[in-house]
Amino acid sequence: MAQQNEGPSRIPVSPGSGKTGEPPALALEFRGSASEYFGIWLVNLLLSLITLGIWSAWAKVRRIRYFYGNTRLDGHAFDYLADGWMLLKGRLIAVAVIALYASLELIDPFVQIIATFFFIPLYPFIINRSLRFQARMTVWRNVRLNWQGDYMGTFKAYVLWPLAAVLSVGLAAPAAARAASLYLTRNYRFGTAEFAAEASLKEFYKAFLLTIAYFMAMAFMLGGPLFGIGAVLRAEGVEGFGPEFLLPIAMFIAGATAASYYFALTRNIVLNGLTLSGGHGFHSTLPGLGYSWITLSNFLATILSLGLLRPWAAVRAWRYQADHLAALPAGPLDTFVDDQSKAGGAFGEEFSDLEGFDIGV
Amino acid sequence: MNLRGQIFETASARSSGAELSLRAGHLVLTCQDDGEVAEVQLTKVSDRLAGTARRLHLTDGRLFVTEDDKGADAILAALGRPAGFRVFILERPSVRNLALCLGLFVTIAGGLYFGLPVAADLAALGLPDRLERQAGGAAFENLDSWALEPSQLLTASQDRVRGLFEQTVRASKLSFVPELHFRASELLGANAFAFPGGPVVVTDALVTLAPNNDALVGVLAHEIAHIEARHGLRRLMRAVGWTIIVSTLIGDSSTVLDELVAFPVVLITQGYSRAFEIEADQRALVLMRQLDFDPKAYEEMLARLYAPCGTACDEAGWWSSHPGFENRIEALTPAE
Ligand SMILES: [Zn+2]
Repeated sequence: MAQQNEGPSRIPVSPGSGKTGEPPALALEFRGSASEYFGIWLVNLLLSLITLGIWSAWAKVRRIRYFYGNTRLDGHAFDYLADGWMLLKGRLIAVAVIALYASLELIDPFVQIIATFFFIPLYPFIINRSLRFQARMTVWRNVRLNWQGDYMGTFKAYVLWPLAAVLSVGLAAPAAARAASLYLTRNYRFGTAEFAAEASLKEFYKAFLLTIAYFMAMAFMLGGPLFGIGAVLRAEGVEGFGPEFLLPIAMFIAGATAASYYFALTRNIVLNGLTLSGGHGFHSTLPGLGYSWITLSNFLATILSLGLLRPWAAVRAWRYQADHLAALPAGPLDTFVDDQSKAGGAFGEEFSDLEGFDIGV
Repeated sequence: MNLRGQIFETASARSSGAELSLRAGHLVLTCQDDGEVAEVQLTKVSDRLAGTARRLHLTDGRLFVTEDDKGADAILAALGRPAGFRVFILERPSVRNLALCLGLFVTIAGGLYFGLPVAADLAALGLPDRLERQAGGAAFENLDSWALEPSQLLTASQDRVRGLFEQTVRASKLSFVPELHFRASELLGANAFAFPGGPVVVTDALVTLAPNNDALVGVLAHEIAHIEARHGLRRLMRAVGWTIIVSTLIGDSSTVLDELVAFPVVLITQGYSRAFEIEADQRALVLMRQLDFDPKAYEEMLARLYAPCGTACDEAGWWSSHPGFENRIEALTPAE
């Protein structure tokens, strides 16, 4: 029954890493399956509906545990340590805060504007709590991740840099993305071990330019035909599917797939420049075109199946990411030790979740 | 009863093969490396979940990890410990579970389709009037600030419309007289709208377009019917309900494309909106008859309002908030 005799799967060192004499790369291995996750997803869905959303806290735990727990490195699985009660408590507080904020509009829109100004300085604090909670709940080999960003650092990376990107009409966007990624990864700890991160600005700008080219190609390839279809439907007297309806859809899909293309390219840059104390490296080879295709086809499959293929899509996207990531150990992996710092409550995590922030590499 | 797995030292990545066994009701840990044999106690044990290893935390801080779910369950049962959530039984991919889940799914979907509007309406009706009026007032002020300009109508015609409005309100079930505002708007053309709990806004172009008092009463009665039946708030609560459900449904990933899946909520609520318009039309006819105005004038007024749009607005699309002209006339005809 026990599987500890099962050796880790090893893939040859990629020629791209260029170093010699290092131990073989350890591929990340995902053992989940769509049919298995389908059951978990469906039961989560039904129980969430029956309990009027209360189960969704446990649903989140089971979903994340399924993906983490079925992902293995060197034969050892990851795991997610949060339990439903923690998340439910955080979620209730987050819902109360959001509801309070929304109800301010009913009392007086002006009060709401003032409240917004008070909220902005709180965002770095909430982001920090969220990242820390996520990290402390993620474990591999009895050692948990940690995140140690401070208020000013987060303020710079997630408020000032994006502001600079907007003010420069996007010209500073790659620099902002690089600053945020470096800040994020450098503040992670695996137990007590620190991460060092390097990423060249040139590579970020290259990824950015490639993404713009990708977007234009997609917009042209999707926009042209959809515009034509819209014009034909209009001429046939079919209302509601005219070019002015179909063209924004084409632009939206082009933009969203371009976003996943950019995600893949920058993820490779950041992970390939990352080292864990002791010299352990990472090798990420997520193909931009491949990943954006996965995102687009997942989306179409989900829509066309009225949501039923969603578990399949989620497993497929996760597996694709796992398949293109490997660790490059510089020595034994059992020397890490955890520290005992606390995770804090789940409020920040749940608030970010409900508000739809998405921070991560 | 032996459970094979690995033991991790406290807060350490170092592990070695180990075995947990039950001897005379006591849990005993045997480490393969150093041959240590010790009695241990469990604290937290992770729930069973397909494909994932079980984590049994020991009171001394060490962690025992095993792939043997059945063995772990047997030991927990023998120790008299709760086994944690047993939902994995339902989660297993089997024909029986699939049938069970799909059956439940159909039941729930049907229940939602018919039950959600009822529940949302109850929630809307349970909200205090004061809150509804504040929301309506705030929404009006917002629109007023960017889309509406002061009315150019003569005081005399404003007073005439106001008189008809108050007369219609008295015939309705409303216990208060909602505010009535006259505004000019190039953006909105000939239009009238009711905010939750009032106010009602009438544009100058609408007053000019109306050929007689009967037509005006028709439009005013339609808006009063919206307030009377609390359509605005009910639509909002139904939208909130569906948003909660759809976001639970898609809450397992977060690429930008997923935002599009929220589209169905808009479609569903637009459907409700069209139904409410028909309801308000029918109620308007009842009020008109009660006040001895000519119901035919309302149909003619609708025709005038829809005229600029032409045949394109005869039938409503699935995305529009208002029914098409022909849909509305059809719904009014049986009431004649
Ligand atoms: Zn209406």
